[in-house]
Amino acid sequence: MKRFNVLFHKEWVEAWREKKLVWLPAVILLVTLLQPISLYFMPTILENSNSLPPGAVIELPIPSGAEVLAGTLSQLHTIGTAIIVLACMNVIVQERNNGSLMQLFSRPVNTATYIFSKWTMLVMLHLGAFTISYGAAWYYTNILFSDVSLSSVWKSFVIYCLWIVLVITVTLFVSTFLRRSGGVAGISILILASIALLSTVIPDIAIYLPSNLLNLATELLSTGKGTMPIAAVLVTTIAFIALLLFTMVKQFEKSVKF
Amino acid sequence: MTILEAQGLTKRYGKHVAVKNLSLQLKENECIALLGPNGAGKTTTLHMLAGLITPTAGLIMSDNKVLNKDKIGFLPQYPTFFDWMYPKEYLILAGTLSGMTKRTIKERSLRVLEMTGLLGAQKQKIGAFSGGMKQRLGLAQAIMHEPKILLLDEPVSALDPAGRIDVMDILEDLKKDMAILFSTHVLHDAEQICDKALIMKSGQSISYEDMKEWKGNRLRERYRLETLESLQIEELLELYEEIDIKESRKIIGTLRHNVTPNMLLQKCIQQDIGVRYFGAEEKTLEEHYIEVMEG
Repeated sequence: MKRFNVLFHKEWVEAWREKKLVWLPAVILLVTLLQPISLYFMPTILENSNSLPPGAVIELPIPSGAEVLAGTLSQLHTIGTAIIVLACMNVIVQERNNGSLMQLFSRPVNTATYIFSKWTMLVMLHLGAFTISYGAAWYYTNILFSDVSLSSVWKSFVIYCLWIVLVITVTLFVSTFLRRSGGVAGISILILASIALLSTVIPDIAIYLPSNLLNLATELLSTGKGTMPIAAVLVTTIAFIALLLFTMVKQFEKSVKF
Repeated sequence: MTILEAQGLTKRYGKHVAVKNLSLQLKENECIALLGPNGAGKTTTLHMLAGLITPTAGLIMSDNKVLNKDKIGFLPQYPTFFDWMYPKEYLILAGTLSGMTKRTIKERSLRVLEMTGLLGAQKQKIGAFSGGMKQRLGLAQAIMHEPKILLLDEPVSALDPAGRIDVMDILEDLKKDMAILFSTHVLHDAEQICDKALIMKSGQSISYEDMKEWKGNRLRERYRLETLESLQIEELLELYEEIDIKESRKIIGTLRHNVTPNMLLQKCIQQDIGVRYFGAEEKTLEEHYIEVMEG
């Protein structure tokens, strides 16, 4: 436990000194807030764009608060996922390539301790950033559009957190196989995109899989209760994350680490 | 007591054999130099002993037990740290990972910084360190937890001459407390502080000898003669039984059985040869190394 703590602490100090602790939440907040705010100002933006012929009448239906928040999540699902992958792609690869990993492992350190210290820190950092951003988005949605109930926001939040954990886990998983951060980012996004694509390829089965996380979260926002099999999705997602963690520890132990 | 013993160590990468059937014994307070050309398998050997890579075959033991990483201090060839850290922070990380308590870490980190001459650099981030300072910090982290065995991969090749002497002085000092095995290309250093030398060539040990032994054996026999003009006198050469080195103005070799050094000198005086240097010559490790490499 002492070893985990000191590595975990190291991750936070590193994130602070390299200012990841600042830019990551800021970027995610920006991406999240862009949706409600740009939707609100859309009519004004269009009016001022000068590209419309004079006399054109714009009538946009005002979306409900739930719709706006759902739009926020979809926005995060594309851009946000890419940001998270980019933020995580280097954490193992860099230490492995420059040799500092080898120096650490000349001491009695467990592979699992090392990987979990990184995973836990990344999960906490990203979920923290998401909590702030989603909270802010909810706040602005309530002010600018209509109220969304806390209970539905809370449920969608928990469901979507799982997707974020999955993104981090997949990226770390690929990092234990590849030595180039570009490759890690590419393959991770490929895997995540394939997971998302499953809902169009095999919709009947994908309804029970992590592919359904976003749909589930947005549905919970608009209706408050899902018609979809929430429990099944939770189980498959958590099982998948656990499997990835287990495999990556084993793989990292076995492979030539340096 | 044999603190580190390797038997039949072999490492294969696919078809390439990096280390082949290597055995060595490191006793308490002993110092062994690992010599050999680049690519001979020195680093691979050290990595196996440090437990960083698993050997394809062979045994590594300490005192007839499985070797514990706690006992080992390791300095890689290119020590790498986290550039954003302060030296003390790295030592705390290293100490904690090696299972030291908070209090001992505090005392020990100051002690090792002092030993390696880094006390003055405490306020600098490691990213701002020069190559030599990183090498020193590498040594500091290797001895942080007072290991019984110190494994160093070319500890001096990145250092300037003054730094090299410093590190050698530190090692000389550390010999009292721990067994040291280090690879190097600086044969002179190895000769100064090591008890034994293991010479490797393409993955195999080709010579494993006690340095004091062969040094002592040869001490009285060999003489070195350096002159002002070129040496081309056959008569002089005849006094030598065996000539190891012959350059235009220098001869090193063993004298014939009934020839005394004075006779050699006398001959020079008779022939009016200006003598620059004359004296008994120990066999250097460098010569031995070249002999073994060619043989």
